[in-house]
Amino acid sequence: MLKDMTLGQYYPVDSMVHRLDPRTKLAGTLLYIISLFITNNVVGYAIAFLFLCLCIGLSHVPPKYILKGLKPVLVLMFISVFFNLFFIKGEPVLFSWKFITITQPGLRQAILMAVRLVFLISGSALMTYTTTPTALTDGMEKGLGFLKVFKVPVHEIAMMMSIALRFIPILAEEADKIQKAQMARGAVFDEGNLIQRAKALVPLLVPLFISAFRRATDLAMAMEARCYHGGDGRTKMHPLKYGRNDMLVYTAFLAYLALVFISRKISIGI
Amino acid sequence: MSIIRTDKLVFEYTRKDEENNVTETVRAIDGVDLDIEKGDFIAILGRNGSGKSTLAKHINALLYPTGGTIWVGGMDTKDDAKLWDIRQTAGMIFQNPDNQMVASVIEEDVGFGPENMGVPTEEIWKRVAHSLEAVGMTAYAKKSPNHLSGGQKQRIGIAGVLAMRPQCIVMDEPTAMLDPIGRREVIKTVHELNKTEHITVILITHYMEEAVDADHVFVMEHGQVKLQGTPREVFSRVDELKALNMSVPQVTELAYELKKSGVDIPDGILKIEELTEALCHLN
Amino acid sequence: MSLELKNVNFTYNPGTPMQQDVLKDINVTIEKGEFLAIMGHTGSGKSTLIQHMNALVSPTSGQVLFDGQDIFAQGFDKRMLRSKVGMVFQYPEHQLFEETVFEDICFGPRNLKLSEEEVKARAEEAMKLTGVPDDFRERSPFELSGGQKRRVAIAGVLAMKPEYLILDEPTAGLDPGGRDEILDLLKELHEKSGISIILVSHSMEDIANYAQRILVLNAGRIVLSGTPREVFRHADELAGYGLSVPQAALIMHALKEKGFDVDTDANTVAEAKASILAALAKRGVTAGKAGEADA
Repeated sequence: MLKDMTLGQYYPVDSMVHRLDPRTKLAGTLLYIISLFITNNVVGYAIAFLFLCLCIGLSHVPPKYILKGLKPVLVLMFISVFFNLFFIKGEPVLFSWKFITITQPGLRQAILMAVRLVFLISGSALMTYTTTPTALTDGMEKGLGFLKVFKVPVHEIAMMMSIALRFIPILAEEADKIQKAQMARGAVFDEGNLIQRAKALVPLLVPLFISAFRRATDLAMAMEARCYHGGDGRTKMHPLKYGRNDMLVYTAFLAYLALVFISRKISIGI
Repeated sequence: MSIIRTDKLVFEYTRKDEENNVTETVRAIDGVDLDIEKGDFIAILGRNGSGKSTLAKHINALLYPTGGTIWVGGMDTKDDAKLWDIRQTAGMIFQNPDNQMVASVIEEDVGFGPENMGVPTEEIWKRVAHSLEAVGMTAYAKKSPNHLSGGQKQRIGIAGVLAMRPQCIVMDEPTAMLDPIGRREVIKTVHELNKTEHITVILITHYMEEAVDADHVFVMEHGQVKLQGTPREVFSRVDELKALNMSVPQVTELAYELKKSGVDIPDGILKIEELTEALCHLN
Repeated sequence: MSLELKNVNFTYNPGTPMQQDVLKDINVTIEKGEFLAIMGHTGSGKSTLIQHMNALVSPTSGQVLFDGQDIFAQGFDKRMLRSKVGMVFQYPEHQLFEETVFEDICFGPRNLKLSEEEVKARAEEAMKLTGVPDDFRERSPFELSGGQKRRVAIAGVLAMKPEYLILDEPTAGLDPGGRDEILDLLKELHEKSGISIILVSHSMEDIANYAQRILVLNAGRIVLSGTPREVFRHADELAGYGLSVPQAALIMHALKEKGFDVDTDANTVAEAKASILAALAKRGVTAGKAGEADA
């Protein structure tokens, strides 16, 4: 069910990772993603894996929860594996039957790509699990604050994102209810060709959009009633300030990145 | 001292057809005169579409009168310079608890109002702690609002308003989407705030039971105040209320019916004990 | 002819740490033509229970039988089932989507693959049955009032000609006038068209006035079942489940304690009034006074 989706939802426990400045976590995630694209061998991936495990361990988010969050992206992973496995040519050929050939470079690439995707998603998920949407948007607002000079409405974008995150589970649950309400009237969502299926979505999407608009109007009014008038003159419950841990984490990330770089030079023949 | 006063308040809006021609002018509020004392607990009753919600939105300057005047804490809501003061003076709770929560962590949602007002960080935390305590939700401070019951969500909404240090809370059908437990929980909370924090409460509802303990009741219909008085005065007029599509608590209706059949009991009975007491004294 | 749940259990997320038993050992038979009310506080499993009845949710174990046939058996026509066991959800906004009221009411019968004439004829009939005014036909369902939307939503389900009509909190958010209108409509449908009504409601007063039988659900189990009179006798037990009894019943209990010879099973205003007048007469509080007041 949609409402069980864990990806992108805050996991409310207290940990050293939870308490980090969101800017640190944002930058860290970015560095981690970059590192995944630098690595090119098993040693690099092993380092990335250990580093991820360390972060997850420090975050007190159960590993199971993180694995559960991977479910929605399984399809993406299968597609990636499929293409790498069957379409990369090279030597030696491991398996060949009619038009299907699997080569060693293909297999290697498929596995590495899948691993890379799992790491990438787990890493970014860990950030969203340990950072409240508000903190996340605060971090982006402050971290990207320099864009204001170019007339980018940084505060507004940040606010929009945080509201979107808050309403995703609510709307997901609502979609579930609407689907059931229409099924009770004989609607079928998994029958027929693509066009018929797309058409079948109309009775689901119309009520969902109308509800979303209604919620948006209500929310805008409620925010106004609570004196919201944009970012000017606003104070923060969590003013962002780097602490000692943040510096430590930045150092750790740089060290990690250096290790990954060094690992490129190591070759153990796989 | 009056906290909210209106003078011949009128609010009209127009409906337009597709070509933008005015097809209809609707008078949602039609000459309402109110004078609400500071510290009172007020209930405004009326069927859907009677104008009670429109009236509520005037108190928070979310709507402006098209005729007459409304003063909130002595400030005319048409005075733009006072807009934020007015909204801080009179906080507002809406019907749907989900649609008024901005943040994904409860304490952050409670702090949203003070943040907007530019309250210093340390002071915000003090206010959030106090407000959560006042509505009995301290244990949930770090939790997500998604797993709360409707009644708990509304209490968080109330805490959010409380953190803005208002003099008055306007509640627009805060219990319409709640189950009976949630309803009781919210009404109990606002009564406590009214008593302990001396906040004026304006409760808009169509559940008569919720109005029984109010200081003063207004019944609206077609944008006008049709009946007003203490709950006892208003609820003794069962037939008039029924004509306005309102029901009364069963005990009040029963007492009224018994009286009609000639049983000698007083008017406007609101509680079970009052009825049993009155019947016992008949002998 | 009946709808039967046999040893139904439903577990949410079985085998995971989030595992949650929502329904436990539910056994209930709903006869055709019954007016049944299901009560229970939020989270008691009411919604999950009713969604078993039209195969929107399948039980973790146990069976649901419609006229003796297992609705989860291979090849059982679920679409047919959903037309026979109609369900109206709490918020009409969750089902209304067409441009006009009439088209929206046509949605259900059209899904049944009926001829266009039959679809229209059924929509017409449903509009009449539910008292949706003729001039609403071409209006957008989104601009109607809350009570009107509910009527249209009910019409949209009735147009599938159900034998059972399940309604989840159909009066939530309506004012007292709107609430009475919807409940009277259900009563009329029950009496005139012989449709079985299964009403999920929080409002004890509504249930007392309309239902023939009540099921009380708590923590996924049926804890009480019987006529309103039988169920409302258990005021204390109900309070333990977060439920109350109609105020009239509380009054009768209070009077009994004070020594009045009243019928403690009375739970509507009319019943209470009759019983109190009789008790007063027995005590010798004169009817003469009544005469004076009436005159």
